Amino acid sequence: MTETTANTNQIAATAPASGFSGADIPAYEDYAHCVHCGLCLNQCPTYKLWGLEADSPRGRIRQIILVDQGRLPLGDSFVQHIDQCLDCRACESACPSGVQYGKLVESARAQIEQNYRRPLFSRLARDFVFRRLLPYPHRIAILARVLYLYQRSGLQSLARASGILGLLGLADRERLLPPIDRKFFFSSLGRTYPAIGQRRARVALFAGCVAQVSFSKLHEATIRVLTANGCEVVVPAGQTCCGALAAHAGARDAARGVARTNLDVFLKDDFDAIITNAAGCGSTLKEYGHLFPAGTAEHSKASAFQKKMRDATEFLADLGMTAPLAELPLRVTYQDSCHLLHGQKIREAPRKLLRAIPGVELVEMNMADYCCGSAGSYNVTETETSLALLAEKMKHARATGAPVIVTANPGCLLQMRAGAQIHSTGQEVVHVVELLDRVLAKSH
Amino acid sequence: MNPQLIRDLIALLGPKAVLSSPEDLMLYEYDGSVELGSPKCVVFPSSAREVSEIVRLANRYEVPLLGRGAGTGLSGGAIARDGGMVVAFSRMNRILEIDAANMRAVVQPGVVNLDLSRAVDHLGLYFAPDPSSQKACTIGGNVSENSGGPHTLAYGVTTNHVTGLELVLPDGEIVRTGGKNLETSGYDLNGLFVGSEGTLALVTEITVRLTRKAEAVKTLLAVYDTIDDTTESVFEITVRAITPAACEMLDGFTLRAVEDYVHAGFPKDCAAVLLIEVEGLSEAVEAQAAAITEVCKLHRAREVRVARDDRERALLWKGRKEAFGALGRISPMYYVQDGVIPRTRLPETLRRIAEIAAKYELQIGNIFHAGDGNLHPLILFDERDRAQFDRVVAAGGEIMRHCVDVGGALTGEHGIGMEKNELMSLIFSPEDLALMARVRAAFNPEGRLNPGKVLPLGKGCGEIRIPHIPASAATPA
Amino acid sequence: MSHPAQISFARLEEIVGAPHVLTSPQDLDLRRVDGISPSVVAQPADAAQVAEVLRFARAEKRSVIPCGGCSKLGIGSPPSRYDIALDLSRLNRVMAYDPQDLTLGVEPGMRIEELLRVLAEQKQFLPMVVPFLERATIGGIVAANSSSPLRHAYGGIRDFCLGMEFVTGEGIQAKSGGRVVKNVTGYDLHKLLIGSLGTLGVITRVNFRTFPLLPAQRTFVAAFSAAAPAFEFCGAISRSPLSPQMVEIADPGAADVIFSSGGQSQTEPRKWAVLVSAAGLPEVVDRYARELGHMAAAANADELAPLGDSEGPDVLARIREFPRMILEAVPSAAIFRIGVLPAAMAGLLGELAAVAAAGGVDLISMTRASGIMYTAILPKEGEQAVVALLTKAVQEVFRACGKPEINASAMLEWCRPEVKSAAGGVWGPPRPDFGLMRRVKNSFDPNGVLSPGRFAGGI
Repeated sequence: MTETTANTNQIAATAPASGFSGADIPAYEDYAHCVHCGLCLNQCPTYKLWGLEADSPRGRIRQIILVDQGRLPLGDSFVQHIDQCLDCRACESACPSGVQYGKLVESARAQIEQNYRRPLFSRLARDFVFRRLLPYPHRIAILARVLYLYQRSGLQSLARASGILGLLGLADRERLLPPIDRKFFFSSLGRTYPAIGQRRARVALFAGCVAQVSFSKLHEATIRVLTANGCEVVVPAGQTCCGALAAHAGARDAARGVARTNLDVFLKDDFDAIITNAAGCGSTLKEYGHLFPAGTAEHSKASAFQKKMRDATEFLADLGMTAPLAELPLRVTYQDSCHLLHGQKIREAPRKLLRAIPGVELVEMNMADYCCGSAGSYNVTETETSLALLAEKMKHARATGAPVIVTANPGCLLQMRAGAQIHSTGQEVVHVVELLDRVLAKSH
Repeated sequence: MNPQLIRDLIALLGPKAVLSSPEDLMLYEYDGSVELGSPKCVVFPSSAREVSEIVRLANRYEVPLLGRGAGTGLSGGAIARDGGMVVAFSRMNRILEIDAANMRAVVQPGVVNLDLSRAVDHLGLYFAPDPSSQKACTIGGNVSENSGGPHTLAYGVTTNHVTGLELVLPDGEIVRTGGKNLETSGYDLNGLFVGSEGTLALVTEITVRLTRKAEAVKTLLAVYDTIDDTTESVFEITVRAITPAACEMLDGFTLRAVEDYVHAGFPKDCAAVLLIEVEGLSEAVEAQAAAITEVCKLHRAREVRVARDDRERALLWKGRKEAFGALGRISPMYYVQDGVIPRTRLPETLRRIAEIAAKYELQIGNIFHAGDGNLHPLILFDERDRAQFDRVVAAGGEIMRHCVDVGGALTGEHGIGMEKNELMSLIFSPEDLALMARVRAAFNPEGRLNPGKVLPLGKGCGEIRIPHIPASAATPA
Repeated sequence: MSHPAQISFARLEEIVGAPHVLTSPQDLDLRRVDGISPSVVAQPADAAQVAEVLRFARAEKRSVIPCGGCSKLGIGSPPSRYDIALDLSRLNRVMAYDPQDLTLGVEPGMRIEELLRVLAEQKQFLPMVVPFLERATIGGIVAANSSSPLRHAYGGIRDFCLGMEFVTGEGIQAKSGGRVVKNVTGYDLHKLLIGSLGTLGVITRVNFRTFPLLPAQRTFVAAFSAAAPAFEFCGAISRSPLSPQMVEIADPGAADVIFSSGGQSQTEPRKWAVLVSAAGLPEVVDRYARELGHMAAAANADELAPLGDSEGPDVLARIREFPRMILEAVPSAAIFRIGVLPAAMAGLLGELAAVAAAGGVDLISMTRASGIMYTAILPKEGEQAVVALLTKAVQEVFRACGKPEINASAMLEWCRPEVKSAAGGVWGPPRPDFGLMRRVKNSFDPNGVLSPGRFAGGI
């Protein structure tokens, strides 16, 4: 008998305690599906970057198993590799066994949140963002005003020009911050926008948190495109952050908090669909059920809610575009948003919409299904990795020769806008819906 | 492991290219098989020169070592059976040259199989060996295992597509065999090294032939109500000398799992399907597809369907290539075999496998390369059930013996590794094995390179070796 | 080296039977290698006898050269010793042929011509269209890795040989591979024996996959006034979806050879000819005719025409027998077999032309578009210092092949023994992998019983 077999037996015999405890323990039923075939490896951005098993989906699942078996401590090494995961879920698309990796890694993060003591600054920052900022729209507004002043007052240019940011090691990180709109979207909450022409559907718009202060124009475009295609759009008041950032980071308590608010708000009325233009939010919203134990009332509410959740591109492609579109002679390339493609398995809808615009030529980008490095707040927490992935992405984007990069998620938009700037590709980065809005506008 | 060796390795490669902490090493104790074995350190070289220095250090410290690509192998080839050092090639992953005029590419061993095909796609070329793990497995691994795949029926396995190698021998010498040319005078050393499962040398560079993409492709799906009709069709296709590019069989049990994953439109109520592909000039493809349809209908195929477009074709193939993994949806553990039989013995062999499954009360799925008689019976089990596990081992052994009895082979593409080396004596005489051992010793005299693989150790002769408590087996606390 | 002056014929007679130990001058002469005759010919009946002869030879410190049809004994360096010719003609059976499985197991002494006849009865064949067709045996073809024009479509012997049984230099019966078409069980030792010229083991059985004969076949000939357009045509074929059975490029000299008989020359003298064979369904062959026509026109071919039914078989036979036809016409010719990449072929031919012009020799080449070139150096008629001229030219060819921009792998397959020694060997300049080859040799034949001195690196 080999040493290894002996070891394994020994482990099985002594059966040390699991390193997990408390809520949200990664479930054996979920990880046992992994047959360690390795088909996920080459789809994982961090594995491609470093070539380390520990930073591959298979390796991360293994680490989760090892912690559960008590062979690996829930310590620095485990936390580092789980933190470094983009949660882009490309591995889920690659996995033949149907392992729900996102669910596993989010549970692992919830375990880390409960059972691992991060450095003080990190703890404070996470607590502030997930529990004290994102759930409260007015706090976001206040912070946004400050940022807006910084960006528009000349302070930003001064800081960039002076090299102070570089000295502080913040130069790149600062570029990845969302630009703040002059007019926030909050004022639209509670409003209803009538359908143009015959009403084909009545939908609710999910407005999100940060998007309201930095993507209000995208929201407005979304409303215009939806109404132009015969949708009555309601923007329910009282809605709040989807909780995606918190859930991805393991702050599942915070995610559950905002989820409860949203469930109440959106289930009050009967909509044909609830629409989001943010793929990152969409995949969390479609998985609210994961946040609540099966059999609970909240779980069944979440199920009802999930059934109505639609990404804007998914909804429009299914509904069919009826609004007349102007011709737009333009070569574009489409970058899959991970949480649309891998999280929601939506690949064709955005492409179909782009091809529907007369004159638009869609050129596929090499490796369009790999993460751009944005990954929610990853570009802020793991900036170096994020920028390395962005550099790869921009290389492929540039190679398409398309002047416009289209994507389907605000996070990806920000990231690639920064990328176009850092790598001077001269490319414009827009949301699918924004491009649709442009051809609408011309036809009016 | 000797701490001084670790220090020397770090001095050579830098701290980011050496892993030696227990938490890191645990992630190199498995591959795609059910085998286990933990190394004592893992190194990530970036050049042949570094590999050579690593080998010299291993010799100085008398430490065994072995290469590893993506760890997708199915016979434990990349498992550190005797501890020691894993040389991971994941960072030697550059395509060094694409020579379209001569239809060659020069790659480092860590290049992923499918990435090479993608890189030459715009030239109308591809790398023909297409193991089912091709989106993750590395060409270095393909070379070590002499990997095949569905389309090897028409295009051959890895060895038919390698013209040159750069190798680091177990004494640290860097040497080249072959080159870009179709042939090089002297012994066919490429033929020896390809498929030697990493026991003769570490491969640091590979020159491969690229293949021109066919003008036309047709993918047919023939659906059957009995396994016998399916295997009889394969038999007749071979007999009639119709030469499809691929001819794959999936049984109904497997199909149901696969269909849940790919939604390719595989019928879930049938006994088996054949996935057959014909390639070539459009005129030939039409004629072959018609001939195949005729044969399938003759053998009572319920339906013969042609994939309408590339998307449907891709889906059908996704279903086939990822079928092993899809069974993970049904059962957390499975044991895949890789026996080969003469194609004329297919019908009786499938019946035999069904008998063995019934005898041992096991669920056995069959997904395999029917066109070249390369079986992949998948025995499903629950690792927590020890009695069942013993039956798995017995059933696996019986299937293997049947393959040997009808004039077949132990492995068609997965390799012997540490799983089947004790079975080698079923096929080879002591003299055959002694000669192989002598050839190994000629290159790897200390047995330091990938020990415990391919050749029998003389323990548990004639038995399949799979660990009693497999990888993800320990019951949750 | 000390061994008894006289071989114990009695012992050999015990092993193979008295009628199968030959010592007549004719029998010994037939098996001469580079002017050296063996002392005795032994004709074993089976693998066990082969093994016993080899064990005897090893014990007696005798050297053995295996042979069959004796058509290719001239390939390789001159032997350093040669005592026993091991004639395998009696091992000439088909051991297993499963037409339905398209697999075959055959003994080495079987003649290829006869085997092809057996296969044809089942509408099958082996893509071994090799020189000396009526004499060549399977063992010799495999041991010499004879090249076939059909390599273009079917690959070389290594690509369709499934396994082998053989006897090592120590007289040990061994095998590798198997009988099934896909197999990675154990080391592929049989691949080493392909092209080993009898230096590693004596082949006692070879397993092959067989191929179905295709319904229709036609060969097209395109004539060109220069090398460049001929290679342009080949490049166009290689970039097209066509996959011909063979593509052969004959330089004007080679074209003369293959179109020589009957006065029905397809191509004018001094023209380059490219011969392309298509096989398959009639509509497929018609497609080749159309597309090859377009490609030939685009490459400025003088003409493209199918070979007629009457002369076709003869032309194909002369392509197959190319080295033999040269040797029969010019016994002192030196013929290289060169592995060369398609993109380097035209350049190499240019280099070779320069060698010929400077060296006062004629040179003709027949090139397989897949990457093998046969180049013959012919001393000019009436030339006196033939050996000196050939020696110089041979060295120059090796040098030209070694140029980095050419990077071809040359082996001098056929030439007079004097030239072999004078030119410094037939294997070209020493290479680092020769060391690996010696390791292989030592594993199979540590005492140097088998064909000593004949192989690369002094093996």
